[in-house]
Amino acid sequence: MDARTGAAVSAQPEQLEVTDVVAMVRGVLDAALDRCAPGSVAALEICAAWEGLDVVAEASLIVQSLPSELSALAVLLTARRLVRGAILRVEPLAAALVLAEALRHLDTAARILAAEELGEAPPWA
Amino acid sequence: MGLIYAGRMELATRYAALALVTPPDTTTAMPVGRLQDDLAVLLAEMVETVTGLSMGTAVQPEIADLVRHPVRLLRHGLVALPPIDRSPDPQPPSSRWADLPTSPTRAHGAVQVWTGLVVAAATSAQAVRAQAHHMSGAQRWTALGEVAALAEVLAVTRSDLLTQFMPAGGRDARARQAAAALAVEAREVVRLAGDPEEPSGPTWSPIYPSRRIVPVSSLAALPRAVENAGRLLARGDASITDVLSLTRVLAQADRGAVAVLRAADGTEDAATARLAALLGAHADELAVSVTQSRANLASLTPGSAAVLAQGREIGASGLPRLQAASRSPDDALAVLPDVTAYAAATATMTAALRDAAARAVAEHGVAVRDRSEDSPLLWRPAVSFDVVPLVRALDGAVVTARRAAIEATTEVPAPGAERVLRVSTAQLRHALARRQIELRPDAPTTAPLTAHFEPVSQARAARGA
Repeated sequence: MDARTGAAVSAQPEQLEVTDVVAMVRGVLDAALDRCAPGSVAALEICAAWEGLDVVAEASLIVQSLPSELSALAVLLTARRLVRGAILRVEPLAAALVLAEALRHLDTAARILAAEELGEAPPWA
Repeated sequence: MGLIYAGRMELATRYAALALVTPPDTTTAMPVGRLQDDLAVLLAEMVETVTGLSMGTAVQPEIADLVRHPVRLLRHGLVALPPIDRSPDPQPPSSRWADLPTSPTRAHGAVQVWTGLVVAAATSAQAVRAQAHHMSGAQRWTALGEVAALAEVLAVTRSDLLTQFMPAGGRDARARQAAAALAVEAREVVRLAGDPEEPSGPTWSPIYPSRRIVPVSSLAALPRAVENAGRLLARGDASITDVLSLTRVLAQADRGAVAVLRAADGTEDAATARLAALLGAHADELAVSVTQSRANLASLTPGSAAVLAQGREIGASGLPRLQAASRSPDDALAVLPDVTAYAAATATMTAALRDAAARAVAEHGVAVRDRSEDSPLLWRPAVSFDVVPLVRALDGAVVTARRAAIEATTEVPAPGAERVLRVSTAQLRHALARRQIELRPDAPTTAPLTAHFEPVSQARAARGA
């Protein structure tokens, strides 16, 4: 199990190993969870995405220091960019499908957060 | 396995992952739908080539077939998937496949991603045709697992396409059902192909029963799937991340079930409203505990693939069905008995989750985030104190789930099962009831005690007189 602190998301992720990118994504999702209400529908979708990352790479995490004014939605967009880049490079290939499923959960979480910002909520919330 | 096949299938898998996360828009929905139709044909051919199965005329499968003949059902599901393009003279493949990107990294937009996927699948199919008769049993299972994984992507994206761009009801409702069924069937074959306990080599058989995971091919199977998840958790090999995963799935399923109960009759029926409130509280207890623990706990043990697979089945098949049923009061009413049975089954699974969490930390299989500033590492081995909040929250959820189970089993809200009572039937019942009342003694508990029994000799003497 690995743990590092402070690596910037702005570093070019395509130059990193996929396992490092996944660790970076976990740090971003940690920040996103901090910005969501505990137990909310969006937070559960972020947890579902996290499960996919656990299948692909060991539970390392690179802590991200993101500006506090960034909303959970903006943080998720950062995670989305990182995961999509990892899908193109990850080995073995089966992991690409797992990451794609994780990305679908992040997209669902982003849709829920966007709807909440507009004052709407999913029917099962 | 042949290099050409392996290389092309790898490319197809990469494109398939991109296809999952590149939804079409209104202008590209139809071209993507046509490419999906092409992929369904290609995958069905590949299943036939790899397995030697050929069904001939389409036969309506039964639900039990999913357990008995999963591979045959996958092939049938691909053939039975209704095409998007129903025009009598569709465009030839040469025009549909013209926009081929040079590589996945250069694919822009849904059409290019899908073109790349279909062309890679077509060349894979060509390669597998040439190489199939040289394949060993293990290689056939591997190839079949890869084809089934693409079939699952096809089913999921077809469901997305139909939900977003096609009107609900009628023919498209059947298309949605076909796509949902294909997803279940494909997932089942992926599991069989990836299961190291399945036979390979000389014992190769494309027809092989699944033994451990309950597929959620309809909401009627959801309670059994939840019970099975509880049984798998109780085997003792689940890791803490498995526990968090299934806790998340159960919380989401609870919320889906609450939405169905509310859609079925709102708060008109008191028993349904009580059950919805209890399930909602159960969902909140689970959801808060899992979202607060997710970034703080990690597993030091490999965990159970079967537990994860059952959780994934509930999440990938059960949740969308619950959410779809909650959109219409009629649909919600139709599945009300299934949702009530689900509520009754949650208590066992919640208790199994709590026990598995406690067991994982007792067996030193959990790491916890160390957030103290002077810590050299972010993680340290967890002690039981670290998971007290999670176990306590799951304990509370067990209590709530048991109350929900009692509510669900005491009074089953199944108005759809009530029979219409005719007037003549009611009159007959009333007459029968009156007759029974007349026949009964006034005080049934004391009647035997007040009866007079005469000795046999006295009775005979009385008759003789």
